[in-house]
Amino acid sequence: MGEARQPYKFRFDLLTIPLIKRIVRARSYHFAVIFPNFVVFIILLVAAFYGPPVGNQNIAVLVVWIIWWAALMLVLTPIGGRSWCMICPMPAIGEWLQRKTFTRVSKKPFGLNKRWPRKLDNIWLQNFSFLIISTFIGVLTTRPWATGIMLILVVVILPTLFHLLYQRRVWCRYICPVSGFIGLYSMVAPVELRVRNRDVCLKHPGNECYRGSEAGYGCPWYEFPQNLNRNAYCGLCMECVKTCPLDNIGLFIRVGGEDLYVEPWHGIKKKGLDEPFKAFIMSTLAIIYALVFTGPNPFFKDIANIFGGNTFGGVFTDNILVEALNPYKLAVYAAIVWSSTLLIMPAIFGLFVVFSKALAGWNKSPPYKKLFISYSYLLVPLSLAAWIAFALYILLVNGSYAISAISDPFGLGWDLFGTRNFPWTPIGTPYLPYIQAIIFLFGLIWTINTIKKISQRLFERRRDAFKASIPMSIFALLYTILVLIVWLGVV
Amino acid sequence: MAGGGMMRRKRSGVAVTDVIALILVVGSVLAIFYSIYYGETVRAELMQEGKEIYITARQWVFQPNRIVVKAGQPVTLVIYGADVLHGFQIEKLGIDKVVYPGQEIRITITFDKPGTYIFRCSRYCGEPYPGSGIGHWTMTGVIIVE
Ligand code: SF4
Ligand code: SF4
Ligand SMILES: [Cu+2]
Repeated sequence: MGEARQPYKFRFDLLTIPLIKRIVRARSYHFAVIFPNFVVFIILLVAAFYGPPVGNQNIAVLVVWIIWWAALMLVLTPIGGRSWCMICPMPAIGEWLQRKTFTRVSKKPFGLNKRWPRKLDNIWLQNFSFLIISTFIGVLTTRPWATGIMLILVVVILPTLFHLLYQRRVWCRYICPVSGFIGLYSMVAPVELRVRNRDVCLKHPGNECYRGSEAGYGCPWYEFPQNLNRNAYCGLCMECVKTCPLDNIGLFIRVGGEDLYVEPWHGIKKKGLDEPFKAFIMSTLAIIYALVFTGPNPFFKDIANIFGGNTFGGVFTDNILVEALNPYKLAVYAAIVWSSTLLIMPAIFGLFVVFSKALAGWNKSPPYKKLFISYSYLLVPLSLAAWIAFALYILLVNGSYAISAISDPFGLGWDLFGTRNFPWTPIGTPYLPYIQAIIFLFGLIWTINTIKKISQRLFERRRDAFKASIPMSIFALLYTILVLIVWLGVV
Repeated sequence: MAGGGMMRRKRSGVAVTDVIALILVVGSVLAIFYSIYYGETVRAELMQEGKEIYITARQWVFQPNRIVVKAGQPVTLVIYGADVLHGFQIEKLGIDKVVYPGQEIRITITFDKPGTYIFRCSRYCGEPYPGSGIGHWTMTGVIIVE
C-alpha cells in the first residue's frame, strides 16, 4: 500500500556515493564522529564548575543553552533530522561500556541487559525529563554549577546507568530530555534513513538489522528498518547500513515525505498520546521561554529565577552561591510550566478538534481520539517556527558572549583564541523582528498545508476534509498571532 | 566488498582501532585536567617574577594566601573572584576593594618598608553554618615584604 504512493518530489540516496558509503560502513565511523563532541562536553563539564561563576561568562552555560540549543533548533534538527543523535556524546560512555569496545562488535553485552518495560514503550518519560529541565531553566541558565550538575547527570551518570541496566539505547529511545523534540522535528527534515526496497526485506528472513550480526549491532534504537516510515526514532547510527547483508539501506535526501501523516510502523504500533503531548509541551514552552528569556514581562524572569530568592535576603546579601531555594517562586513557575503544557494547551487544542469534528459532521467523521492525535502533528511545523524565532534571538543577541568566554574556559586568565576581551555585540537586532515575522508567516503557511494533508487522510470526502480543516487552521492562526504578540508586541 | 564494515582483528586480540580510541578518550580527559594544572602553574610562575601576582578569591580562601614581595618595587595584585562576591582589604594601607564574581580587579602597590601586611575578605561571603566564626571570618592572607 505505502509503496504505491509517491510522496517525494525529489529523493536521492547518499549511499550510492561510494565514498560516503565507505565512510559510514567503517566500524570506527561512529566513534570518530562522537569523539570530538565527547571532548567538548567534558570541557564544558569541567568549565561549569571550574570556570567563571556567572552565567553569561561561563562557557558551559553559553555553549549548552545558546550555541547548542540554537544549533539544534536552527540547523541540526530541521535540516539534519536526528543528525545530532548520530554525533551525540551523551550515551557514549554507557554504550562503550555496554559494548566493551569502542569500535568492534562484541557478542555479549556488559551489564544486566534487561528488557525495557512494555508499559514504558512511549516517550512519556522524555516528556517529563524535558519538563523537569524546563522547570529549572532559570537557575540552569544563570548558575554554571547547576548546568554542571545537569551535565554530570545527562552525560555521565544517567545514560551509563541505563546502558548497564538495559539493552541497547533505552536512554535515547525513552529517557533523554532532548530526544523527544529532536524526534518530533526530525520528521520534517529533508533527510531520511529507509530501506531501499521493502519487498527485499519481506523476502529476507535474516533480520540482521534488528538482531545484529558479525558486521554490527542490531538497531540500538529498537527500530526495524523495514518498518521505518518516519524519522522519529532512528538515531542515524548507521549500524543497519553495516549489518544489512543485502545492501538494502539507503540514506536519502528528500523533498517531501509523509512522516507527519502516517501511522508509525506501518500500522503495527498505533500512535498514542505521548507524541501529541510532546507537541503540546514544545508549542507551549516556545511561548513561555520567549517570555522568560526575552519578553518585556519581568514577572516571568523573576519567577523563573527560582534560586534568586529573598528567603534569606537579610543574611546572604549579594551572595549568589549560598542563596536559598525560594520554594514559593519555584512552585509558581513549576505550576505554570506543568499546567500550561499538560492541561491548558491540550484543552484548547481539544476544543478546536471538537469544532472540527462537529463541522465535518459528528457521526460520519473518524473517532475523536483519532482526530485529536492526527491533528496534533500540525503543531510540529507551527511550533518549530516559534522555536526557530527563539533560537535566532538568543543566538544573535547573546551569542557573542560565547566568543569571549571560549578564550578562557576555566577562568585562568588565558586568551586561547585572542578573543578574551571581545565585547558583547548583539547582531542584526534591528532586522530581527522582520526576520521573525517572515518565519512565523512561513510556519503558518506550512502548517495549513500540513492540516490539509492530515485532513485528506482522515476524511474520505474532500468536502468533509475541507470543513474539518477550518477550525484547525484557525487554531494555527491564533497560535501565530500569539507568538507575534509575544515577540513583536504587535497584533 | 571494498571498505566493508568487517574489522580486521585477531582471534583473541584487541583491535588496533580500539586501542587508538582508548588512548584518545583517556588522553583527552587527562589533557583537559593537565591544562588546568598547567594554567595554574604558569600563573604561579608569573607571580614569582614579582610583577603581577594572581590571587583567586573563593569561599573561603585566598589562593595563594602567603605572598612574598620585594620592598620598593611596584607590584600588581590581580584578584579574581571565583565564586561569590568577596572583598579585598589591607587595613594598614587603607585599601578596600570589592571583588565581583567572575571579574578581576588590579591593585598596584609599592611597599616601601619591609614588614608583614595582612589582607582579608571585607564583604560577607557566607560561612558553613550561622555564627560559626569561620568561613568568611577566617578568609585572610598575608603579604611579606622583604
Ligand atoms: S537521544 Fe539524546 S542522548 Fe541519545 S543521541 Fe539523541 S540527543 Fe543524544
Ligand atoms: S534504523 Fe539503522 S541507523 Fe537508524 S538507529 Fe536503527 S540501526 Fe541506527
Ligand atoms: Cu570572602
